[in-house]
Amino acid sequence: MRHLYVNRATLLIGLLLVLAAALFGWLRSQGLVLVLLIDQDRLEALDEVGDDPASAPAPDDAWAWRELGADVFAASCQGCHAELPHLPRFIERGSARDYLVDFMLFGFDGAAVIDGERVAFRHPPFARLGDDELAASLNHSLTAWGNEGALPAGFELYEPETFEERRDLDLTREEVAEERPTE
Amino acid sequence: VNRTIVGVFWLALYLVVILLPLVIMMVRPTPAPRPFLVEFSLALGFVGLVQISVQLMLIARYPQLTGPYGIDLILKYHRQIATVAILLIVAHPIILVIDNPTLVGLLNPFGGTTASRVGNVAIYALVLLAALSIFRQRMKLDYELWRVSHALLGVAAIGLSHWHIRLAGHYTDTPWKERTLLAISLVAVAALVYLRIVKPALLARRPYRVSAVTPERGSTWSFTVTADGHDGLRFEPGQFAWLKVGASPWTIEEHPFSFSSSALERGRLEFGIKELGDFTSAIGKVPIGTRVYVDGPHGAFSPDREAAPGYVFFAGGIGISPFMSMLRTMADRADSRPITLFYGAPSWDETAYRDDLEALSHRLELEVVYVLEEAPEGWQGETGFIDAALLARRLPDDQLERLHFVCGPPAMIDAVERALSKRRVPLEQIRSERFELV
Repeated sequence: MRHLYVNRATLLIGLLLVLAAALFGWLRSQGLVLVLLIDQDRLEALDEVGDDPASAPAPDDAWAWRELGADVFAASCQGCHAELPHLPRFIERGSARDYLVDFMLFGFDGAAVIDGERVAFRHPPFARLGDDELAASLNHSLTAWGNEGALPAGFELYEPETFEERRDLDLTREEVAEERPTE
Repeated sequence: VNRTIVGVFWLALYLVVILLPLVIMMVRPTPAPRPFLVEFSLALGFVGLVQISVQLMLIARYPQLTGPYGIDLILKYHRQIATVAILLIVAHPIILVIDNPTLVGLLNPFGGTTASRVGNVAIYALVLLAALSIFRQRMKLDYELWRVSHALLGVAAIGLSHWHIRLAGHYTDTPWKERTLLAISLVAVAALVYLRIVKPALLARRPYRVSAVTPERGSTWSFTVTADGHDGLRFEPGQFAWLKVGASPWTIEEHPFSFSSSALERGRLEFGIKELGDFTSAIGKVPIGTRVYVDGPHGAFSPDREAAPGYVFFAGGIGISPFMSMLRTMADRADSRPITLFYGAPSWDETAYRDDLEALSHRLELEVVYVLEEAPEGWQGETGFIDAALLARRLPDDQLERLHFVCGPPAMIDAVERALSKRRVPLEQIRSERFELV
């Protein structure tokens, strides 16, 4: 009869795991995070710094994308793309700025002319990533591997707001393919 | 330390470990929030992985962990909860695709991203592991080969899952979070190393030698081993051990058998073994002096664990073995508590240990009720199988105060449990031993 307890334990633990996962899903989809006490201390210490400009956090306009961009690229892009050295040339095309945002958000399914050759390809959408993650990884791709020096003069890097605005377009992958700027 | 307190401690630690990944993934810094289904599916993947890792600790036969529950229950739980964990892990990519059907390419083992391909291989390893376990007997897969494949597939799946998580990133982009998750799996793999390498090394220091192989009735053998250069082991009557006979302590070939000797004899251990398979059919030919390693004791099927005013034992076939140990131990202790033994056997000629039981009945307050499938001519006792009608006739009047122990074939255990249930015996008064260790 002890074995009946095992059946009950399996049922209870199985349910606990599913319910805990569902609770996690709901809390995270609502943006809830836990802040460790050590983090809390650091935040309070920053508050105490007050107006000292030397130790104050970076202003909003100096968006800290570099570390996040490298992390997101390593986690989500590097599996397929080792490097993207052609991006500075591509960004010079007419509507490339918005197209790259749509390409990352909604994916691609169609044909393109690459190095003079017409090829069909698909790219997965990454709308599941946050606006800051997408903007940071695109900035990383535009500046890494020596790309930064090849960017057009006066080129402005991306801000998360651009992704936030274009996210509502809800394009299909085929529509993004049609939007692709030609040389 | 009280066994209940130890049991509660391990249960609490288990709950903390299996829910830990969800808690640490909630701690800042976290990736940007995504839809419920995406976050839910990731959580299923995390808890599924940790649950699979924990399985290696559960099956490591670590006595402090298995002692409070009995390893037979731990192994049954392992089979069930591991199946649940695999289902949770399989659900992880499926829910991602339900949320965003354009991700269906990630399920393609030859397409998708590197992360998805690695994750897919991990899932295939787990599904193959489960299929081999479920269909092993139907496929007539060699038991030792299955054990090796089981361990390799499990460890490979855990390793591939960590690789997949590293490639996918997001929650584990923070090093301390990834390290915490990895640490759980490393401790789990260490438990497997303990079971397969460290523990055999410890067994090697405490060998036994075969001192007697005695035929009993009903194709049963009393297999006796004697401690070689040490004082033997302490066990509770009703427990069992894994035996490695005539082989290295690191061999994966081992067989579980119940002790049938008195627990007061630490240096001389006897096991009741019935000829049922390749190994047991040749047990009678094992030469005296053969080296044996004893991994035990294991199990929680013992009257020593709970005091009771008396006992009712139900044995079917070779299920008599643990009861022989209980009765011999109680006789050596001059225990005067009343015992009724219902003993089901195919025939009188195949009733193992009946002479020993006759001798024990003079040393104990023991009544033996034999229930024979085929009774000899002139048989005055019970025939057929143990059922409610038989119990109504033969159970003692003080039966509801006693503890009931049942050991035998699964059908017999089910029948006895049903019959006892009809007699309004509470579940807490019944202890059953289902030998499903292989």
